[in-house]
Amino acid sequence: MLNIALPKGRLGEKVYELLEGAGYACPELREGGRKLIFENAERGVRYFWVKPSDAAIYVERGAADIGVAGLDILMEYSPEVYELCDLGIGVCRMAVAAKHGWRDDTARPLRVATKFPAIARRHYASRCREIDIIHLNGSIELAPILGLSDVIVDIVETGTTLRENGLTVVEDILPISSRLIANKVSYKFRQDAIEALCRAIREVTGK
Amino acid sequence: MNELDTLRFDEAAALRLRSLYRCCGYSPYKMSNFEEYDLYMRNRDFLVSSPVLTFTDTDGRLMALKPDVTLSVLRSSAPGERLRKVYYYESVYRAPRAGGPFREIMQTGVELIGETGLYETAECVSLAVESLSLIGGEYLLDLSHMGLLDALLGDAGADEAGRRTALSLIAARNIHGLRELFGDCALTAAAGICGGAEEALARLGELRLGERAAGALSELRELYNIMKETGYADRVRVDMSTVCDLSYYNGIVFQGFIEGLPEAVVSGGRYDSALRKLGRGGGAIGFAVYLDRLATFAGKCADDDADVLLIYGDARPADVLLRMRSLRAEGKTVRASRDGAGLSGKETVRM
Repeated sequence: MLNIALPKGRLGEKVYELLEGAGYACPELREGGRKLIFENAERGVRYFWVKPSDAAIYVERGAADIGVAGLDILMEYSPEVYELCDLGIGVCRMAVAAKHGWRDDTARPLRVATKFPAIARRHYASRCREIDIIHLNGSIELAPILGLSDVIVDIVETGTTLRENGLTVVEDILPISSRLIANKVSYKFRQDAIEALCRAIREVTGK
Repeated sequence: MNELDTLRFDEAAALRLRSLYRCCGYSPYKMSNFEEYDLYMRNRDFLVSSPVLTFTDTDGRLMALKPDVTLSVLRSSAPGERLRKVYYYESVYRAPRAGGPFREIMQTGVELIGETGLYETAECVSLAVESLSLIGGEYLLDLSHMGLLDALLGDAGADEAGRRTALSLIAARNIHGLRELFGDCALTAAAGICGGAEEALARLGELRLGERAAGALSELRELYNIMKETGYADRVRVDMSTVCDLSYYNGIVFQGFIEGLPEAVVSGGRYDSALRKLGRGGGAIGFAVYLDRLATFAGKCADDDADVLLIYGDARPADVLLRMRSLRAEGKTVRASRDGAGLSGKETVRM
C-alpha cells in the first residue's frame, strides 16, 4: 500500500486527476464530504489530503511514501526527500515585487516581507544586499502598501493580484512547479512500486 | 548641493545631537571596539540578556564586540572625578530581536557619573527631550520611576519570581493579569496609570502609598515640575508601563518616542544600582539614542539618479570631465553616461 499525501485545494485536485489518468484512481475520493483518508486496496494506494505546506513533512517523516509539493516549499524548507519528477502543474514563479515606481535606497537595509524567509535570505545574500526580513503568513501584498516593507518576495502566477494592489514584479527569483516527492527509506523498500507510479505519471504528463 | 545633503537622515541627526551635547559641556568619549569577553561574563546580569558577538584574537584571547557603551564608560571613570559628563557616538553589536541576527547599531547618548543630584537628573532628562526635538517629527517623553514600582511590588508582597512576572505584565499593560495575581491593591491601581504628566501624577497621588513609594513619587513630581517650568509640560507623559531592568535602574526612567517610528528612539534613566554592583558609590544617569531606529524615517529616495544626466556619446573624455566640472560648479549633481540607458536625471544634457 502506497501512502500518498495530496495537497488540499485546486492543485491537489489536478494532481489527483493526473494520478487517476495514470491508473491510480480512488473513486471514494470523488464523493466529497469531510473524510481525509481514501483507500483503493486493489490498486494499492491510500490518499490523504493535507495542507499544501505540510505535504513535505508527511513524506519526510514517512507518514506518506509519496507526496506532491511545490518547488517553493521544497526550496524553503529543504526537506530530506527524493524529488522524482516535475509534474508540470501549479506553474508560477517566485519573484520580488514592489509598489509602482519604487526605487531601492541602497544606503539602508531592504525590508522584505515574505512567507518564504529562507528563499528571500538566500537570494539577497547572493547579492550581498543587507535585508530585514518580515515573516508574514498571508496577504503579503499588504506589506509594501502599508509601509511595513519595501518589497515582497512571493509567488506570482498571473500577476493580477499584484496589479490590483498597485504592485509590480521587480525581479524574478525562480520558476516554480509542483514536484512528486518520495520518502527516502520508502523508496529503498518499494522502489518498483514507486517507480511504476512515476513512469505512469510521466506518460500522462508527457514529461 | 550642500555637503550635509549626502548625510543619511540618521547621520545628520547624530551630528545635530553631538553638537547639542558638546554645547552643554559634555566631553566626547571614545571607546575601544573590542573588550575581553571575560568582562562581559563577569558583569552578565547587567546587560541585555541577548548573546554577545565574539571572536578569537590573534593571541588566542576571546574578545567581544561591545554590546553596550554604558559599562565601558562606568569602568573608565577616574577615581578622583566628582562628576563626569560625557557623550558618545558608537556602534554596538547586538541581536535586537530575540533569536534574530546580530546587527551593528549606531548609538549616541550621554552619561553623567558621580555626584548626580536633582539638577543633574533634570539636565539629563531635558537633554533627552531636546534630542527628540532635534531629530524631528511629533515627539513625546514617557517618564516613570523604577523605585516606585519596586516599592509597590514590595508592599504587595511579591517574591522574586512574582516580581519578574509582575514587571512583564506591567510592561504589557496587562492589568487584568496583574489583578489575578495581586488582587486590588496600590500596585494594580498604579500599574495602569499613564497619560499627561500632570493628570497621571495626580492620580498616583490619590493612591495609598507606603513610605518608600511615596518618596519615589515625590521625586517624580519634583522632576516633572522642573520640566513644566522649563516649557516641556506638553511633551512629557507619565507611563507606568515603562519598565526597565530593576537590577540596573533604580530610579527615574524615561523613553522617548517619535510618531511614525514603532520603537522607542531614546531610552535612559538613573542607574545607581549598576554602580553599587560594581562596588562603587555615587550616582549615575544617562540615555542612549537609537540611531538605527531612525532608518525608516529616512524619507523618500530621490526620484532621479542625479540633477543632470550627462549623455556623452562620442565626446572626448577630457571634454566630458570639463563639462561635469562646470555643471558641478553650478551646484548640481551630475551622472555621466554613454547613452543614459536605464538612468534618469531632473534634466538631460547631451554633448
